[in-house]
Amino acid sequence: MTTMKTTNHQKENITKLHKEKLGMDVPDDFFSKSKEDILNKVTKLEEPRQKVFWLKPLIAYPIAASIILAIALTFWMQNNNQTVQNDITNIEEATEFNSELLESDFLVTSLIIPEGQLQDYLDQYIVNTIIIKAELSEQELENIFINSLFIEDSLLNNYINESLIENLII
Amino acid sequence: MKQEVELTKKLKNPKLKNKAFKELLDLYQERLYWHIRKIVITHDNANDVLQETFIRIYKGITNFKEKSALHTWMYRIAYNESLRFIEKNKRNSQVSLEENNNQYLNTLMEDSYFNGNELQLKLQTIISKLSKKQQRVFQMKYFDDLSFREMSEILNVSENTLKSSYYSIVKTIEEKILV
Repeated sequence: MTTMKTTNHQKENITKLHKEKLGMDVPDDFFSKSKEDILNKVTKLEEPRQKVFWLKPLIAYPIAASIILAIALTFWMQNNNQTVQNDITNIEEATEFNSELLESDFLVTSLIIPEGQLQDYLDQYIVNTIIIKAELSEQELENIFINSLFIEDSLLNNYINESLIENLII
Repeated sequence: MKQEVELTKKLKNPKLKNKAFKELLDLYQERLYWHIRKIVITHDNANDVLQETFIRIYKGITNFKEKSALHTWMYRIAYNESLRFIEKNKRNSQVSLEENNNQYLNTLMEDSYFNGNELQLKLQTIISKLSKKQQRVFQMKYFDDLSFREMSEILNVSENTLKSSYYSIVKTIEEKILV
């Protein structure tokens, strides 16, 4: 209480001193208005800054994680698709190579074989070719189903359809 | 001093900060205003700097290390804010150092809240002819009633230098005012 009295006394003195000695004045009620202004400004400083809804950590972090996961999945699926494509291409190449080899064997052998035995040889060749092709197709189908086990559900249907169509054509 | 320590504690407590800040304004708003007014001269400028000073005090109170008294720390903020304001205005108006003394009086006369009589204007003219440092020393001691130790902390000048400087300034003013 004593301190407050001293302060008020000091306040009166200090304003009086400046008026009397320096001729400096202030508007009426200036200090109470100024106090209000300062308190208003300070209150504004205290108000929490409004954050953009989607920038709140609770929402932003899951969104960021989802985006990263989506990008990672895209890369992974693309690479996986390429492996399957490579497998398919390899099988096709092997089939073509085998059939070429068989055809050239057949042509060379047909020149040596006597004409009477040619019909028997031809029948045997056709049977052999069919058996080999059937075995290869069976092997391919097995590969397709094994690969399909590792492929994403979303790609599975497309992959099976494409591979089955290819095999049916072969 | 004890009251200031208590007030500092309250100001550093987030729950009590706003109430304590009102108390701080009651205690020091007027004193800081007059300290600023003598440096920036006009009422409008003093009002701007005063507001900026208290905002800085509010923001910086948590970093106040209590190496000096609270009011000394606040005076230093007010003093620095006033100098910053003058520097900013000087850069804008590009007034030369020679013109500064005249500018002090011109600004004073232009201020609608200066109602000085002949004697008051004479004292202001004498003050305007002192160097800026001498002006600060005289005003802080004579009008703000600060101790030499407090002035030393605010101005970063030794107490002895301030004492000898102040007494020589008072002597000069007395001689000139009697002429």
